[in-house]
Amino acid sequence: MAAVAGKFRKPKETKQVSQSYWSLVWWKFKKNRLAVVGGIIVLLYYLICMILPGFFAPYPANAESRFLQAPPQRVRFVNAEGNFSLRPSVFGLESEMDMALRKRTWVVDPEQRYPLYFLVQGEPYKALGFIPTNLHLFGVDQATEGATGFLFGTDRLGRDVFSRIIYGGRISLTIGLVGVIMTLTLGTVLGAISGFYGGTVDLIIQRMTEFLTAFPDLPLFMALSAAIPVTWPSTRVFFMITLILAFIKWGGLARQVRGLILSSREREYVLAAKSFGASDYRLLFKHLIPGTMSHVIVISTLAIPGMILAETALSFLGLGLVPPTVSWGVMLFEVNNVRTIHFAPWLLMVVPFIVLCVLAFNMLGDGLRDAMDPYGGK
Amino acid sequence: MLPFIARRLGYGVIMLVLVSFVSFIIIQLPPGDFLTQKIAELQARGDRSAETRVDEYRARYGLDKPFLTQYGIWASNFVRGDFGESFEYERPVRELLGQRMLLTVIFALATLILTWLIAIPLGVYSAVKQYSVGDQIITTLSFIGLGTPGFLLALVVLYFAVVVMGQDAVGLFSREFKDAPWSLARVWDLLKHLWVPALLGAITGAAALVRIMRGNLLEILGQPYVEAARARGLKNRTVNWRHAVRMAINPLIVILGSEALPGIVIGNALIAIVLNLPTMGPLYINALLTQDMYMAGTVLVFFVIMVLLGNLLADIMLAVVDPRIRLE
Amino acid sequence: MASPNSKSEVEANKPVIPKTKKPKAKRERVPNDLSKNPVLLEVDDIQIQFAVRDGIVRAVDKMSFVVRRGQTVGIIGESGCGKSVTSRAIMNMIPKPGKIAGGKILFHMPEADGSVTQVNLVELEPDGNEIRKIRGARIAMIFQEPMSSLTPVYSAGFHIGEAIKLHKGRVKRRTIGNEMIENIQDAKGLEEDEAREVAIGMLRKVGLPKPEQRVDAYPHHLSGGQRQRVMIAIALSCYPDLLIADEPTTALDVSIEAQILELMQELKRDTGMAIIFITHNLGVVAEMADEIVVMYLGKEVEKVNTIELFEQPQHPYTQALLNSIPRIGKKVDKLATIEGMVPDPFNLPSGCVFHPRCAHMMPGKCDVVVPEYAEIMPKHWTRCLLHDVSWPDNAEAQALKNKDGSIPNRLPSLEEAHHA
Repeated sequence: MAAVAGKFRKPKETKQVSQSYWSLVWWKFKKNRLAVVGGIIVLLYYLICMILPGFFAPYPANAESRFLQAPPQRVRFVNAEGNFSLRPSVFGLESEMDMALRKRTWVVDPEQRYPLYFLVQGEPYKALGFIPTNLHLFGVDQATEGATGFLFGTDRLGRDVFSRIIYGGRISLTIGLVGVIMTLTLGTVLGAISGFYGGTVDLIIQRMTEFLTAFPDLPLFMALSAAIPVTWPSTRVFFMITLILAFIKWGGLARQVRGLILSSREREYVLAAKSFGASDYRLLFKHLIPGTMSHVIVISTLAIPGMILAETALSFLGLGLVPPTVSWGVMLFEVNNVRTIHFAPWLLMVVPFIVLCVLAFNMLGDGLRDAMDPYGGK
Repeated sequence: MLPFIARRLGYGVIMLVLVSFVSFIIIQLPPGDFLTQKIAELQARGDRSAETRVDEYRARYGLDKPFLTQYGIWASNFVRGDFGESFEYERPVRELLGQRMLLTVIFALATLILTWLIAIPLGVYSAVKQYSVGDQIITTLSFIGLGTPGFLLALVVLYFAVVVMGQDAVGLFSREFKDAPWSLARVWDLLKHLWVPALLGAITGAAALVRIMRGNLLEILGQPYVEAARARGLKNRTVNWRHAVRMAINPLIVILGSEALPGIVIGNALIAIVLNLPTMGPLYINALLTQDMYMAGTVLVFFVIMVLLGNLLADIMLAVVDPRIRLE
Repeated sequence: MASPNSKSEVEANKPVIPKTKKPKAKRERVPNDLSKNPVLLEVDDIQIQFAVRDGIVRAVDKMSFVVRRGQTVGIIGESGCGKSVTSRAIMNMIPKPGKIAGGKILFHMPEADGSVTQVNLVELEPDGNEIRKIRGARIAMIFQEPMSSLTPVYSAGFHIGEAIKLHKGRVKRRTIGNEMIENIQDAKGLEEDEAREVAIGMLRKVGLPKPEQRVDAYPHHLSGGQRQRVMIAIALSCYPDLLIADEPTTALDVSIEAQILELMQELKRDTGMAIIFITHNLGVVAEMADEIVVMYLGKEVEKVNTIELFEQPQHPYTQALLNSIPRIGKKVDKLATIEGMVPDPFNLPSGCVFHPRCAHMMPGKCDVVVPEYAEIMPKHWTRCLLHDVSWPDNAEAQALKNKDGSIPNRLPSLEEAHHA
């Protein structure tokens, strides 16, 4: 084949650039814009919600206030005179009595103006769990009397929805991550053993996974969660929920790993390793399982949103986490009736954040899958 | 073929027994039982005769017998159509389930059909016109769809219906048909209302299916037999549908049975809870929260039956459609 | 630089065509004089390009050859030299991102009434009505992988029936003899059972035992050889004028290969169709082809009838190919290979693209001047600076050649390797 790419040159040694598998994966991943965007969003979520929630959230998760079910205070760019100003500010809230509904409602009061400052001093918290500080990314001046900055409004106990979304994200994302890690470990090891040894061990494990996957998982979750005594402390409940989720979902992963191991078991590299005396343990853990790693990573990344959604669904039904723990599902639990939707629709603001998170994970996982398969596609 | 079906049915029955047994155990897990709750409830209401009625209740529901016996009784009754009695409503479970079972199945079927109607054409288009504008739009939409489970969407829909449109609920029937006997008009009313929840339930499944279809079809379009078919002079459309899509459908049928169906059953249950539809979902959650043992157990078993039947049907369909599988 | 070889050396260096299974009927290897047959297909200066990220790759660079009715033309070359792409071009089925960048492919379609319609296949709309009437019906193609060239969910009979029903009426054309059918495409389609009968007949014709049962068999029930027979049956079911065989036996066992080749020869005799046979196997092409085109990097390097190619190859690449066939009866220390590798399409050698691997490379010439493709002997085309045409000042070349003007068969590795 001839190519028109410049003048004919004398044949010279072409440079051989040797590339490891992982650098090939990274290069291919980078080309997929959606996946990169997804990855960045995921990282942002983890940064904001898990690593430094205190910094990004203007209020603590459970700080009640007297502003019950207040609407969002929209950010405006005006100054005291009403002209355009670069400094963002919010208008204050005033309570009103709605006689027809017999309800106290809050309305925005244009007379009051609270400017938003960045890197502001607010409620104290412990950054990274142990550094005491009270620095927040943004907020209103605490010194001003009655200053509030509820960007997404408040819930029925006067808690800031925006902050709760961030803190809620911490719990939801942790469950997602920890749950998947547990599933991963359980599923990979069991699936590998099942595929590697075959025979009775395989049969038993296979029957177990079939049973677990035949069970529609959410009803099972729900039943198991309902079994958790209401009296348990929230951390124990949290741990239990994660355990339940992981324990039920490992079946699917195990089945996939088993299939992968089955197909790799007879490959030449395994026979070669065996032929110079590699023990079963070594074969499994140093050869076969690492060979399945790329698939496992993809499957796990794509499983995290499933976990997050499962917890959200459970808590939303009242069967999972309960207050005072705050997770996205718990926040939705409050909106679980028509009345609340009618009067405080801003409580639904958590929904786009959930969707975005799941979306990002899916894009990331999809991109990883394409990248890990260097021979496929374009 | 027949021994295949028989074997699967037998296997399914064993599964059912196991599942129902496990469900029973799970339902019993919460400490105390329904009765202790009920007593507390009755006492709170000031009903002083509660304690005397306890023994009556116990005997009635057989709660004084050992666990295995309880299960045995329930299981043998179940087969005969007696699903036990609901503690909460003090009526036979069967009566309460009534129409809800039928509606659950209809809801699931409608969701299934919608899922396919959406997913197949979009998936095929996406693969055939790869990287076109349409493909990119479809891909983006399917990602969003993957991230938006039915019940979240149901919440949003509820918001619109209630706040924006001023309705007071989203249901499966208009007011006049709610408890009416079956008639053609009622069926039509149902269909008019059904498409909203079915669409909600179909979105996540369709999004996943579109991507799978696209991936499969892309792979198949590169296969030699597709090129060979084109070389015989067939129209592109014929090649794509009669040869390529026909091959791509097979793995989708497997997915239909194993993943799509349980997902639909569950997703619909959640949607039904949000929108308060007259299906089994809301009954189930209520039963769980109140430890209404027989009710919860029965519904769980029915969910599993639906899934198992779906799997079986999918397997049969696969054998019919793919000659490579037929000789077992 | 070189002395003319002694006669014995030339004799000893003559390439030996590897033995293939001889058919029962005694057949003499005489050159078929097909030059009187009317032209069927004319590939004229065809250029095919692929637009990839790093630039444009010229997969086929100005290729021309002619196929006459009843003739078999073989195209040989290494993988990636462009031979398969050429065959796709004839059917206008080049996969994206490739396209035909120039040239013509004239198909002289014989009509029922004896006239000939000339169609430029390049100009037809890809996948349009016109080309689809030709595909399968006038020009048929069989592929390399019988394993996966049949749709797994349809039976053999279905495939044949599909082709017949699509090109309806065509079958009747032959069975009724020369009787005309005015609008072949509008002739009534065949009924189901008629189509099935025809399918069974075709399967019998290609030598498939128990065709009545095989017609309902699915591809996974058949062996590789059987599948290829089915492919041939499909291809022939509409009695095409030209059959393009793209490495049809490469994936088959040698014994099956021999059967399939024999079948193709037989069918060719029966139907009078022409064949374009693409392969990288010199033994096969020697058996099947009347005329051979040798390709390298998208260009033709030699074109001549089969016997002359094997007896008097004029291009060093052809020579090298022939020399690399291991010979029975000759003891060597190592097998001859062609030095070097096929170059990167974006980093081509200057001058003659073959020069880095050529045993006759003349420094200062071959790496500077691009040789022209010319007819150096009657009906014998090649492109090499060793021949007068492209390089006027060629005293050096003259010195290199034998008295009869042919180039000596010299490869340094062979010289070292041979025992006297």
